Amino acid sequence: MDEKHGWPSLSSRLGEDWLAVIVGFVLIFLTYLGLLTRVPW
Amino acid sequence: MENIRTLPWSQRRVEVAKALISLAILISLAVLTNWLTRLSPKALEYPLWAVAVGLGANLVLRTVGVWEKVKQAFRAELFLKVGLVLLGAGVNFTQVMSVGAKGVVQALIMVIAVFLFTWWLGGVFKLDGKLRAVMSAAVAICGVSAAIAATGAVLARKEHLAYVTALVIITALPLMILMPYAALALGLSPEWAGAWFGGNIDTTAAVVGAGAIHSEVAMKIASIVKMSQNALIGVAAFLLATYWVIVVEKKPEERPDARVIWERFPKFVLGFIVTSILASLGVFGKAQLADINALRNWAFTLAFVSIGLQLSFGEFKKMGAGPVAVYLVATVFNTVLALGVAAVIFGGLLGF
Repeated sequence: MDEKHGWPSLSSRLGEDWLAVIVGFVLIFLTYLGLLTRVPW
Repeated sequence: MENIRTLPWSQRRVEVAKALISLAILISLAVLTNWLTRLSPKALEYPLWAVAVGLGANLVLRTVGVWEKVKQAFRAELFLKVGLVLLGAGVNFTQVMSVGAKGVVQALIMVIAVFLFTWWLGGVFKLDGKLRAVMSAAVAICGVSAAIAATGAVLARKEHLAYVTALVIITALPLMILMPYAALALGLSPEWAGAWFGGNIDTTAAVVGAGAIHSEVAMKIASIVKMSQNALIGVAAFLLATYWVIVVEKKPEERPDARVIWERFPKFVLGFIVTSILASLGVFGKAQLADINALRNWAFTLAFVSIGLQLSFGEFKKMGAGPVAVYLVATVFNTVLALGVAAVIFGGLLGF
């Protein structure tokens, strides 16, 4: 599927699942450190 | 499209620029969705607005003829998985274990019954054997990912995968909208409703969407039930490939390797579990949980907008009436059976 989208090769190299886990953990870590606060919704 | 690393520098810059434009379009549409949701009555939840906004933009981009050039960031599955990892922070691990265990029981019943029914119905309609396998896996397990796994297992043609993918998405969208309102009209508890969505709707994104339209509790239950079902993809792909080479192709020497079970396992489920454990250990404060919740809603919005943007009706023109009829009848069977099974396992019908 990744070849079709051609988004930077990170997704093809890691696999979409692991990329999602990394992005999710980075967001959680930034929130934990207080660098992402008062996210509007 | 070629891998970006194999392109010359000048073209790489063009590809990166296109990806950034694509991302900017997607984020703008997500912000528009959020704005519309705030302005609208409570009943019109954000998944509805997101898909509608995505579909509108899809139409505009295809009419203007630039859709192919700016599609790089339209990644419903990726954003959905990020959202599910973040969702883990809002679910206690004890709940994950108890709902997950029930979800596996429900998934086993549903997967076996729906797979065999669709397989049989495909035979009645004289569908191609490989298309039958891909379609049965898609309806029975979890839509697109299962269809991809089944395509690999039986070495089906790319067109089969494209047909089934189009069917999965076009069927999931009305279900995502209708099922939450049906659950409210039927007076189902959030647990029962969530288990019904998770057991029936084929794509995980639409399961989360239906849950979000119904209630926060239903969304969590629906997501866990669906992930329990997703976790079975590898096992199903292995069994299907084994059956295919031994029974259909009669080549026992090509028996598949059991490693496929891990290869096909949805790894983002592990991310969800780790996040849930961290939250259960009290790692996050109240304000941090509120921020993670908001980030999760943004990730889901990006996923739902992407669904609208990725929808293509082109495949239907190539497909005969047979596959569509099989898929729709199988979906009705799945919907009714899931309502009953969820009633027994999650609705307390038999006192569980």
